[in-house]
Amino acid sequence: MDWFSVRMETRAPQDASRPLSAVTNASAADEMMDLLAGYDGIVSAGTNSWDVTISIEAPDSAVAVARGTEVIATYGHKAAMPSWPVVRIEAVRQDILDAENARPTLPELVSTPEAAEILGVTAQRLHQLAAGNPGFPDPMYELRAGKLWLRSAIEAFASRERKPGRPRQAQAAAG
Amino acid sequence: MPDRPGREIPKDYREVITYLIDSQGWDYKKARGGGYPKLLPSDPDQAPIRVPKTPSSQRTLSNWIAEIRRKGGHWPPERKR
Repeated sequence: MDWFSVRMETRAPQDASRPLSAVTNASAADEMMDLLAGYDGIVSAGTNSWDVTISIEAPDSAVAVARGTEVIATYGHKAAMPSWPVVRIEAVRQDILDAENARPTLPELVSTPEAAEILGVTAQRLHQLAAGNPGFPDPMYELRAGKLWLRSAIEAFASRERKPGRPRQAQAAAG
Repeated sequence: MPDRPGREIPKDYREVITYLIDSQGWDYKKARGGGYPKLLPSDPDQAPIRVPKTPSSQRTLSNWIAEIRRKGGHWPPERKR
């Protein structure tokens, strides 16, 4: 048996004649949090959507989804959450979720001086490479203050293009 | 004046919320009258996320952080070099 994080997402029907009162939804969501405390429950609720994440112990993800859906539906009814259509259900094994959560969501960016340092060249040479080498990565952002590249792209370029030894042009000329 | 997280929530949650408020334009609303505090994403289309009020399991914290990331929040902070 493994622990799974099961998340269910609902959306208000587009043709809903009367949007849900924010106050009603808020108190229902608070009650849902209380009811799901034993399931490590987290509730998000707005005026046109609500989502719930709980933890379920199950032999596989399919069973986790089935059990999780039942738990959320039962307590959702008890807490008087609006019975809106479910638009997404997913189960992720807890250790996978923990590993995902540990990874930064923002890509690591470098400016010109940092990119030049990675490549072991001057800033001027970096600009030459960026302008003249078709394999040089495009910047992710071009701000008024300068360009920003993905660190991983610059590092990949460094390992691909700047191998030790005689430059290829010199080799070709010698041959 | 926007709310700041205090001792009404566990420390692990406080740290994340402070980062989201200070660097990503998220908002925090303390509970009024017994409910749960709410974390409001910078994207107004995203529903507010309830914040547990008592120290909870690591799984609860993990579910909560996953919900923040899903709603556009960046956590953990990018490592400093």
